[in-house]
Amino acid sequence: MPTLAKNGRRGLSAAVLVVGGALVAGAVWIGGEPGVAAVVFGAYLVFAAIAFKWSGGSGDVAAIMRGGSDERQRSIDLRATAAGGTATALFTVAAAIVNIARTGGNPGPYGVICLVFGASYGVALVIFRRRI
Amino acid sequence: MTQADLGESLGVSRQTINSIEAGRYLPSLPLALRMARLFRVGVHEIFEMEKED
Repeated sequence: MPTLAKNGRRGLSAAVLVVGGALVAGAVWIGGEPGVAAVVFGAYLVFAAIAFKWSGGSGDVAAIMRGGSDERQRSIDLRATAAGGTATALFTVAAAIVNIARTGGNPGPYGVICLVFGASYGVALVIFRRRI
Repeated sequence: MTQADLGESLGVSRQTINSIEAGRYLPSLPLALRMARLFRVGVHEIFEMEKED
């Protein structure tokens, strides 16, 4: 079966899932749970197989998953990424505020995530202002 | 010519041609120019400003 789809690579999303699954499973293994690690990696392999099958389709999502999308599909991908990032940022800020209220001033890991988000957003603004 | 044929000629998907025809997606200037060149017409003959634009 050819792996090069009409536009992009059909195995791209599946490869990302396999590599990600290997990293997560490796971390679980190092954490002392080899059995759980095998189950986690197996689950990621199933997700990768589903992604590979889905990526062979002719729809917008399949094209985005192959990384071979056209300008409208890239726009959809960009908006979806922005929506996901915004939702994550709002959730993290809310969680940081809840943690501050609980601990009396310590936002916990959510504070670090807020800091990373804010800093990366600022850097991105500077870069894209010059490039666009 | 089908939407799939036009998409193939312009290097975009059938869905993108459908969205442009339906007025849901405004193509980039390069894509609009490629479309005009393909049909051997001016861009203004394919796309026109609406009052609210």
